[in-house]
Amino acid sequence: MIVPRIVPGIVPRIVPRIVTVWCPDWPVVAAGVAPTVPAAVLRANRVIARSPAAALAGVRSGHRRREAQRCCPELIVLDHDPARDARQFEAVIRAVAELSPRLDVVEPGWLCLAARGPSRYFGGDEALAERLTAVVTGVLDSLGLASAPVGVGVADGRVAATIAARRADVTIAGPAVVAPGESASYLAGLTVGWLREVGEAAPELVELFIRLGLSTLGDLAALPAGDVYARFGSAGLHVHRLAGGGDDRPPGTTDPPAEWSTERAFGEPVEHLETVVFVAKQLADELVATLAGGGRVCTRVIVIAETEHGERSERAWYRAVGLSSSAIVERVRWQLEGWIAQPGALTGGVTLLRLVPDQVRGDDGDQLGLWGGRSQADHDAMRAVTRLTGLFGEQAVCVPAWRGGRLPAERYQWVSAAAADLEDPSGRLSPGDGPWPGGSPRPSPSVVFTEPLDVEVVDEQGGAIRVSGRGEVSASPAALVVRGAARPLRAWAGPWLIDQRWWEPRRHRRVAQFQVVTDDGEAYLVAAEQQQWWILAAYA
Amino acid sequence: MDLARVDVTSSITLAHDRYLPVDEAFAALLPDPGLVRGRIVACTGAAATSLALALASRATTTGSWLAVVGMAPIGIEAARELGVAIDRLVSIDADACRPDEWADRVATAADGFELVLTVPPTGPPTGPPTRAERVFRKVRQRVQARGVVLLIVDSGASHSGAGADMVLEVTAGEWEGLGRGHGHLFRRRVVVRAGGRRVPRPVERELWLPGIAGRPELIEPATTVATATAGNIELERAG
Repeated sequence: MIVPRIVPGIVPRIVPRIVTVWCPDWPVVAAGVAPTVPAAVLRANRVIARSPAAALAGVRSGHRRREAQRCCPELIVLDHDPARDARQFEAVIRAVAELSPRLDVVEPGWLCLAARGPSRYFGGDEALAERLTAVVTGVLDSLGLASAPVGVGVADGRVAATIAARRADVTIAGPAVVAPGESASYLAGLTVGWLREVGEAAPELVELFIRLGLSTLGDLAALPAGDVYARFGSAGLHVHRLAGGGDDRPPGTTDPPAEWSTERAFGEPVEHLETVVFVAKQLADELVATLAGGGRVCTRVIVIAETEHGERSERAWYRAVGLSSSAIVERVRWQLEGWIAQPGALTGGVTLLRLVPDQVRGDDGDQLGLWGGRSQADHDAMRAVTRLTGLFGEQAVCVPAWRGGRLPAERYQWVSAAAADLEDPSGRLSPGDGPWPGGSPRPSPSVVFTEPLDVEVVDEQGGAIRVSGRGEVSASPAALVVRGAARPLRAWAGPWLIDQRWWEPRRHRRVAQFQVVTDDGEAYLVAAEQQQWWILAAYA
Repeated sequence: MDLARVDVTSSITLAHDRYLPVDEAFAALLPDPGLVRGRIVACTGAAATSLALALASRATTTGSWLAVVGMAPIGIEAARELGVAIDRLVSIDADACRPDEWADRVATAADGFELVLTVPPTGPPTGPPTRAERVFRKVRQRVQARGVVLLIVDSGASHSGAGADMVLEVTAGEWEGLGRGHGHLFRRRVVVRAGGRRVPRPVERELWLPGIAGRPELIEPATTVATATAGNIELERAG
């Protein structure tokens, strides 16, 4: 741990045996929903977890709110609350930590531990897995949380163990144990989609594999490593190794030296969670900057907090794609909230916070950000959209969508955010092909009236201006009369003629648009339709 | 506790944590390198809406989200032309005649969006005169606590400018490109004056808003043509 140990990439390492504990649909379980109640937890308008009753009704993760409600109209929609998930999961972590102290929490509902020691102690992988199942189920029962059967998987390598655990909860009752050395053959028949499910590959990469005809992990593993590297870079090489049952730690993973860890001792005990989290942000920034300076990224971090009364909380957090600063802060928050929620665990203020990078690898540039991943601001905004929709109604919260058209009010419109895809807005926003002749030229008006304001446009003598069908203006416009008050015009141009849907008599429209500037310098877009004038928009 | 707090706040904070970036055109106008988080910026005058959108544009392209509260008529296409990333644009309805509802929605939006753009309620004062102030104070507290930048578009109807940390006033605006019966709106020369409580020395600059490409552009004050035009505008204002 103290001395950096460089492991040459060519030496094949023994893939460690890992146990994964997977609590299916944890966000719903943590919310305390009874299994007979159809409920789903949404993040950014997408279902991320659902109760067994909702699953029976056909609600799937990834569904939009509307799709889910169509499958199951009586569905109870819950907001995603990561703090609640972490708080409830803390009891599970504590119970498992009594069996084996060295465990990694990947996220609330999902933890991994090294199988070798505890497995020997408890008499084999099966015995260990059964024991873990019993312990976790016991904790959930004591908390009064109803869950689908907990999945426990044992295999060589974190990925195989996690897939085994996740399949265990749906395919077989009881733990899934993959015999030593069998991980590659176990994975071979499974779809490549699992790489995305366990967070090791970006969705785009998995989609690309499927389009190339590589539908199973076996197909992918059968390709020569060199070819995969040439085509997909280091991200491809990583998943190629995983598909063949290899180690999730890439060659070149080092145990970082102690001086890379960062800590802050508080002169006076801090009792406010927000203050500790604020400091955690600074420490995490420092840590990530130190590592990034050497082209490295941390995949496993140990967070240690101590109080004035000597209580201590230590957790290891793992993330396959590397821990960004905001990801570390999020985990510190989970850990502290879980700690606070334990009765009697915390009696004084926090006096020390330490972040220890435990597993570090070269940053190959395959972080999710490059694939269009989401930032903290995106997550906050999407959560806020869900919350605002819940508070003020679906029609009150809107996002823009391209509709196309010649009038400013037609081109972009507001659509309900509840029905829109916030994660991938390209389909909603990309202007379609083809020009829209007759539209007014750029720049576009900055205020587009939802209800056009009726006005009069008059000439020097105060007579109404008429526009012929060919766009000829009866006289030069001299003033705009708004609610009886005349505003002289300094400049005007037009018309931009729109002759819409002439083939459909009932929806046929002929509109002549003009740009005008009044003598106080304000510019408007006005339009004449059947000799009635309107202000459509203002260039404010 | 207090000691710890002092310890926390005295350490270095990154520029990203204090400011939201703005377009280069505003560099000479603003007293800070960007929009300071936790502050209220009022945009007033004829080009207030364009100015507020242009101020928000750079931050939206670097990942911040912009919520417009009670401003459904905003021109989405104009926002895009001014440089706003409209995939990070969200509109929240609010009734301008109900100050409490407005404050509630602005405060809730401040929880999740780094930029909030709104028009303050204009309805007739229904309660005692302190009510509007109280409502505004609630919004201010939330904006400061969450490190949000609140942009207020005020075309002169209300008097929220008094509560803002910085007031950007468009004192003159002149469209180019439109003649009498020919041409089309092309670009607009505006004079913007930055003042307010947090601006030690008021600054006045000329900008194209929008410029030729849609985005704002600074007009260098050194050229003689620009000074002459500025003089004309001064005269117009005086007259």
